[in-house]
Amino acid sequence: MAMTPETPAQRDIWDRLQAIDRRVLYLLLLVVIILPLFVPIRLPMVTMPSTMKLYQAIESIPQGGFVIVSATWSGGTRAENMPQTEAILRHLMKRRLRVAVFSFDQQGSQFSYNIAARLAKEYGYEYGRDWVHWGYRPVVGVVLKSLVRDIPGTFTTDRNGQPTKDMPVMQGIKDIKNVDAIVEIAASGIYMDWIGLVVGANPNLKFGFCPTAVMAPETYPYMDSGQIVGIMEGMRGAAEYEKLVNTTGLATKGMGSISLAHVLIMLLIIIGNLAYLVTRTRRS
Amino acid sequence: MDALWQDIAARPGIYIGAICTIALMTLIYRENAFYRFFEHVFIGLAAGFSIVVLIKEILDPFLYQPVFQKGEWYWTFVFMFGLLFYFIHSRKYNWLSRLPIGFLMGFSAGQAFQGFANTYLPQLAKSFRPLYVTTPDGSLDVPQAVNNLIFMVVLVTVMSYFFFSFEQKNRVIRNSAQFGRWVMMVAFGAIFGTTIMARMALLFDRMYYIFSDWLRLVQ
Repeated sequence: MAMTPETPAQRDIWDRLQAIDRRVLYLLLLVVIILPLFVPIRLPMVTMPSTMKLYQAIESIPQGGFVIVSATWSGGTRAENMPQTEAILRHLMKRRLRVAVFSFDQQGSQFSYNIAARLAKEYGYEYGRDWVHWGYRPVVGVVLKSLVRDIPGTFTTDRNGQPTKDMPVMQGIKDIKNVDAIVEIAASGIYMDWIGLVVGANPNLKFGFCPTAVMAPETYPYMDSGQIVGIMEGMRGAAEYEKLVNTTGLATKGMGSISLAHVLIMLLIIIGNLAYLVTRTRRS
Repeated sequence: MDALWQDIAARPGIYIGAICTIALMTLIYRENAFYRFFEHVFIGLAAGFSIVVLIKEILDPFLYQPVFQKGEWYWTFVFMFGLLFYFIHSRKYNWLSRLPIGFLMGFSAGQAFQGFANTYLPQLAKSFRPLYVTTPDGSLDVPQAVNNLIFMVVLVTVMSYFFFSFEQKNRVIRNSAQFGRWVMMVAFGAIFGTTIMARMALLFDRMYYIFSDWLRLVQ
């Protein structure tokens, strides 16, 4: 840490640059986040291979296939997980696949139901025939071990307490071998439970993961080994997926702001380090 | 002024959300009572919501209805077994709480073993990669070969960093460990970068809520 001169008169520009009030930085950050809302910045977006792989995996499922979407997230990560949930459900409904949604989080259950119900109206999906919401389920390990062998027995009722076994959407679904794909949208390391307890039970099962950006780097080895078919990384991944399914959602709208914020942070890091180096060299 | 009240009456949830957002963001300036109050409101709401969902979606369909409406009385034994947890607060009958704890530990241990095998054995198998890779027409697949080479170098050097059982006097191992350390630094940098991206996404979401959902200044 560089020593800061004691009197303000002794401070030069390099000293001041190392002691910028954090509130000034927050204000700058707010400006660069808000500005693109009023002056949209359209930047070219290249789809990452991880996002493309997830998209292609969903595309490869035959029409009428059965997909489980688990939305294990809450309000704290809404910014990233909500656009991801919307993008993946939109793709599934566009492809006329049967969808079962549930959550290991109480808030995630409500959020995912709201999103799925809204999109179901848009795509003419009928509840019970084309999609179902199994609601909230606690204790991850017990549920996952159980659904491998008996899906109707694990989710006997939906979130409204209605029996699921007679619903048309559940016809022919007995165990994990009848499931074409699972997509987990999460803000936690729950993908390890899916890989450990479920994925290996059906060699044809496609397991996609939509983590928050913080978690994305740690999941790459699992995509490399084929245990995860594709990854939608945070808001950036959601924006790429929105582009693939031809829609403009929250993630696409946010890319300008996030890109500008990244530029600002990189500039501040460079300036801070430069100022530190200059003051240290001068004093030594 | 009337128009404002009409708008508040029409969209009370949006106004409450906006006030909560602004209140929580005042912490950026300094710690204050306004922030503290809404922080507690948020925690209370989240806890209350969780309890309601737990009763409505778990206890009611899986305990109350089977036992009291369908006559499946034997589920009460499971409930009572779970209640033994609370004996942890009793000095005299503390040992009773160990029964469900032991049950859960046994279950978790078995599950962890299965999880470990399914998670890491495929990783181990995929770590063995050929350095000479050919395309379907038999020629050298240079990009894949380079990828595999980088993978092998990173794998070996990072693993050599974790040789803690003996002092790393050998120059080769010392340099390898040093390189492994640098590689890990790059990985940590990537994680830090994505962390910033995640935090910016959260800030954008709140700003979008304020300017679009609440103030309706942007589409």
